[in-house]
Amino acid sequence: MLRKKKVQMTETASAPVPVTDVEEYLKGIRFQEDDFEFQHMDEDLIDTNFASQSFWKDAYMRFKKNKGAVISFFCILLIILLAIVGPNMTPYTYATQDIKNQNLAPRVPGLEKLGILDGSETVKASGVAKKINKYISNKKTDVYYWFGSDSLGRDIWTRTWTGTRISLYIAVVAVLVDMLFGLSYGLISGYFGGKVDMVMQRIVEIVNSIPTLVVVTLMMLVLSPGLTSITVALIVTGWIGMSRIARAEMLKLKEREFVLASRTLGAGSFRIIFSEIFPNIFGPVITQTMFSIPHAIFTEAFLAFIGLGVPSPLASLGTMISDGYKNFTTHPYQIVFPLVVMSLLMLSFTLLADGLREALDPKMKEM
Amino acid sequence: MKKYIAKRMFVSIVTILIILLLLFCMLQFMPGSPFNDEKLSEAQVQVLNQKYGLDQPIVVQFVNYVKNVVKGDFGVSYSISKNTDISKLLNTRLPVSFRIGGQAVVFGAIIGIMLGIAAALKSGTWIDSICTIVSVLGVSLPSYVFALAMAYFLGYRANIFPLLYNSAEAFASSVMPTIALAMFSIATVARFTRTELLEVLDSDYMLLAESKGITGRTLIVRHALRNALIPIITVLAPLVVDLMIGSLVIEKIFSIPGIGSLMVTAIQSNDYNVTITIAFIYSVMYIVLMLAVDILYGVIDPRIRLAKE
Amino acid sequence: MAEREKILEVRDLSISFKTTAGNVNAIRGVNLDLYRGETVAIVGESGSGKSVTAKAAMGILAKNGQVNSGSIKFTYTREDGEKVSCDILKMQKKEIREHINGKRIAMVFQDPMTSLNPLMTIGKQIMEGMIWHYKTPKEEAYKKAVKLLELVGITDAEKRMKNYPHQLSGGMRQRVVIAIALACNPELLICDEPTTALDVTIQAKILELIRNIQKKTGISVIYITHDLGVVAKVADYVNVMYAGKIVEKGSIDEIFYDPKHPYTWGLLSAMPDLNTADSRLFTIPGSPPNLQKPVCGDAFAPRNKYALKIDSRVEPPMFKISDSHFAATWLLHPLAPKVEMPEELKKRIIRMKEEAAV
Repeated sequence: MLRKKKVQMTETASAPVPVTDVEEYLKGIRFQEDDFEFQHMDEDLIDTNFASQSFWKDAYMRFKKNKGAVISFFCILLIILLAIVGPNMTPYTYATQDIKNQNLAPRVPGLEKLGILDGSETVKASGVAKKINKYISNKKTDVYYWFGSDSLGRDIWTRTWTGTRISLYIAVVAVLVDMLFGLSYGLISGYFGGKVDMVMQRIVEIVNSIPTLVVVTLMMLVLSPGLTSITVALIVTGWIGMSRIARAEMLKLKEREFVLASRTLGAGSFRIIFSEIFPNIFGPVITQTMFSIPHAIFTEAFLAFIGLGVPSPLASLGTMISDGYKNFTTHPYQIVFPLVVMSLLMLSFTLLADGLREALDPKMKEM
Repeated sequence: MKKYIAKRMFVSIVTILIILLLLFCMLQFMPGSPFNDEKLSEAQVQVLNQKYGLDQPIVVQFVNYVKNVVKGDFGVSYSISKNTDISKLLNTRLPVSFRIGGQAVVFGAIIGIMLGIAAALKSGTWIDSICTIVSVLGVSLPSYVFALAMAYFLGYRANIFPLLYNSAEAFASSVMPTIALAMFSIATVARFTRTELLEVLDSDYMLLAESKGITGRTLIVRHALRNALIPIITVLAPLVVDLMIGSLVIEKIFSIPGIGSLMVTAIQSNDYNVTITIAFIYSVMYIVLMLAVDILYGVIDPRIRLAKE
Repeated sequence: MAEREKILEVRDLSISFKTTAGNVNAIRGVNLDLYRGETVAIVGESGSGKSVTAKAAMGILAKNGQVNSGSIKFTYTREDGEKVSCDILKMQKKEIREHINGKRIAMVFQDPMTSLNPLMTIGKQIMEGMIWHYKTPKEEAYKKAVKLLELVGITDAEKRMKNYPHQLSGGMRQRVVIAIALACNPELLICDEPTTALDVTIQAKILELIRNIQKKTGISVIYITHDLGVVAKVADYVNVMYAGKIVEKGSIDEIFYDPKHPYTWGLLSAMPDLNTADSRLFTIPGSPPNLQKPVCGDAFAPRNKYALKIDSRVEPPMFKISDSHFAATWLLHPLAPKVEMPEELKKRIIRMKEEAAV
């Protein structure tokens, strides 16, 4: 105990002092009896300096530091949760119409007492703004539409979360398309190279030189609008981005030593692609997948907006925005809620993707 | 370089032909024919088919189709405006779309580059944070979010700009659509400029330039910006495509009489001929732009210009 | 021998970097002297702080780098012929760029493939410095640039002036970088691993080139390298650096024939050699310490077979061996047990001496 204390004292005394005069310096040191004995003359020296941290643990630490990404992650979880339970929380279904209850402003029990979301809205009639509450004027005091009702008297809360389900379905499709088509296409093209690569890349070039918008729109014209057609359109256009990344990564990795080693040991192409290379390109693949989700959600919303969305009475966020915009000056709440949910969803996926990219592909050049 | 340009042009023309073939096939398979009128007798239909060359072999029909397209004749509209030449419909609408689209590209590129440069040079400061926020929002939110927000607050509530397009006040009514369309460009360009410039600032040749004693504006402009901005040309073509997508929605929201809103109307009223024509125009624009970008890149960057000689 | 004139004097330099993982104390009290016309080599493993020292002298430390203490005194001749001394660490960045960078101290970087601006012709890049600092007229600058290209051994200099970097090979590019460095007749040339990225055959040529230029111009040179082979060819004095400190310094003969620090022993033993009886290549066990944590005592102790108990508590001072030879190891303390360098190294040094004699 005593000795330890002493050691620390000498440390603080000696460490930061610049050594110019050896004599002076030596005088300042309190030598100990065993100072000039060897520490580990006969031991084998083993490297203990850097306890290496696993890549995933490292990535996790980096991800956790990125507040935007973490918040986005929980935001997505919350939206998923609401998409699951939301539609069952009201007495309405997405298709329930009540012509008598059309265009009602949002009204939430509890909050209405605070003066917000109490069912009142400001109406501009002949230049004069007037506050009215249709729940009261129509004597519907026991009716609650949390997000309001649309022009056909359907509950926007229920429709918003049903619509979110479609956006999430689209997200799953985007992921699957990336993984099943894009990834394999790119890996195969990059791995086999030569003629296979040449032909496959020419195809990509041609498909890529037609704007996605045109492809999707024309597809939707041939097939009738609906969820199946949107899925098909996403399959046709969604794989290109991922295939490029996968190919580029494959080209980078396939000449590396560990792949060569595996090949010399007699591993087949399939084994090399999926058990040697795939784990090493996992980072970029996940990132790309995450980025393609908001893109796919946007494609659906875009199609809905130009009239190629899911057919009524089914609701998607896109169709709701498309419907709501027609009278967004008079009843803004009809468009605000689906718009906000979709914006949040896309924003969160983008931020999450950004966070993952930084976590999985660190480009730190700090010294 | 010449060989390279020739090759690229050849590929582009082939691609355009392939697209034409696809569109032609689509027209063939579309439900309904132009003479789907019950009042017409079979004999009359045959006469009409003969007149329009529809009784000839498919290959001949395709060749004729291509010839017509080259001449600028896209046929007639079926349902939007019966029997009007599509080229006539386009004549008045293309300039409007080009004007707003062009404004958005220029505005987006300039603001985006400036924002990106500011963010990179002052990385880690509040300017950088603003750039990050703008680019995240611009990239992840669809353009109509901005369009609707502006339309509601600036157009409807504050009444600063016309809510709907008004050809009498062409510029004032193009302000909001231009900004809404440009948001994505601003975001992408700013983000791209920032990363490129940061990478260049971190490069060995910047260190060498600094170690030569070069400072200030010369250092940034001569050594950093020139290297950072060249790659930005490559994002411009995809940006224009995004503008096209955006223009469909934005033109609809602001009731702009351009080709985007025409396409939406055509889709909604099943006017295949018009839809396909506009799709073709978009494809050609895209392909020509990609070609232009590739050539431009080759001209500006000595590494490509001199490598292919 | 004429009076040696000190041109660079680094005292007690300490630099740390702020990284996301924490503060890294890259340089922990470095002292260095360089005299006019001489060549000093700084040797050490990667990450030992060699380049950081040089960058500090150029005022081009990375943004997250921070000088904690110390001074870098540089003595140069002004345009009017007067000798001026200044502390580079106390100067504003702008002043350093105006008076020092390129003009008086020039630097050659490690990787010629990336250190030239890809969008500028090499002619322009060579002329840029002269025009910038001295407002040299274009024609004069052009003529001088051609001469410089010839000096660094580039044939067809006139034609090459119009070339872009990507049209030249690695060796040629490094010659161009050297020409750029020499453009303003600097008094000090810092070469940061100038040959690491090049083929062995070209390495030798570049080293010879720098040597010749030094003979012609009397320029002082600092070599930064991890390659003792390079040091043997070019240096007058050697500083061995470990974990941000200089652990042994001396003339080239002293370091190669009479090394005192166990780390220097390790470095010398680790040099590949055709005549070694032992077929294994010697390596120093372990890896350099993590400089995020404060180092207590001798940083090399954990990897040092001969480490004494005191090494883990107290930092060894620079013991003086001769007027020019110093080493920071407790083994030189009078109380320390007598330790000889390893047998294998002794034999090798004898061989080296024989070879040098031939």
